[in-house]
Amino acid sequence: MSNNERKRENLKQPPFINKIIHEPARLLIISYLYVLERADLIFLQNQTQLTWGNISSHVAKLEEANYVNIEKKFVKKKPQTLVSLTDEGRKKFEEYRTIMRQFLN
Amino acid sequence: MDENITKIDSYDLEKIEKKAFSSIFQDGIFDMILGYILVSYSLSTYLFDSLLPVWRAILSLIIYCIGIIGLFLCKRYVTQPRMGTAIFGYKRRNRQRILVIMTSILVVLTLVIMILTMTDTFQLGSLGYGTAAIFGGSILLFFMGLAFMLDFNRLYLTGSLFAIAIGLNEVFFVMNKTIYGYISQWTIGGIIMGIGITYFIIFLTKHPIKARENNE
Repeated sequence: MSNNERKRENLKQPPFINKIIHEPARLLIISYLYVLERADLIFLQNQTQLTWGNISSHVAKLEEANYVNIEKKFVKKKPQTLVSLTDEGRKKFEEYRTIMRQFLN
Repeated sequence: MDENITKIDSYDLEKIEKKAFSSIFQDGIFDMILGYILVSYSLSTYLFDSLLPVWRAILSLIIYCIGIIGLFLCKRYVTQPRMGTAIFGYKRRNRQRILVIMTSILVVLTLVIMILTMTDTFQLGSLGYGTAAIFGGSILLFFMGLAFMLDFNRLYLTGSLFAIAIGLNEVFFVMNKTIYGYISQWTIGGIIMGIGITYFIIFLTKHPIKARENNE
């Protein structure tokens, strides 16, 4: 990436903002997980109104970053996917909120 | 996506948590239980005069239990799978426990009063007009407290209606115009159930079961 390209990229999004959390859909998911102890994908989908494909891919991305923990289990022979925020995810979200507050002020 | 984000006014986490918690009442089951308690209680007391003691007690219990158990099963097998599962923080979990305890107390208390009334052991109206004020007032306070604690705004309306119905029933009982008491309880119970059924239909329309099948 050339210097000019990097400058342009920095103008679009400041480098200190956590890009994983900053994406609107993921921000919404992580906000819900921050206030809930655990939730399954159906509950998250109902709350966020995201499509099933969207929510699955965003949750997978958050899991890759180790921000969420996914627990798959069977309840009365039916699959249930429970998602919870990891300690790291919680910490990163708090950092993100602080940075955004400072940035916007 | 943008329009989804704007559904929440701001990233106020308290608002998000409140929205998530209040969503557990959006299936209308709680309203239907309240309405059904009123309707079945008044139906039982109405049958009190027209059936033999053994039959009126048995029939009242059957009517009451079938409805309440049916609604709890509906919550368990119809709305819960569509709603999804969420485990709230410590503070909310305590409030959820209070809701379960309070609802159970209400259901059991109605059952006890019903049995006592059907077996001629106790009549609510036997205390005169004071009964209306005592029962109506305490039920009103109970629901107002519960609505406030649970951030459940609709309960202010349905709880008030419930308390009014109980109060009116006692007033009419003392005035010896019991039929008006039944009518007021059926009407108000029907209105509360109607509110619940409306929310239930909206809920089912918004949350088709196919979402659950995809949860893999």
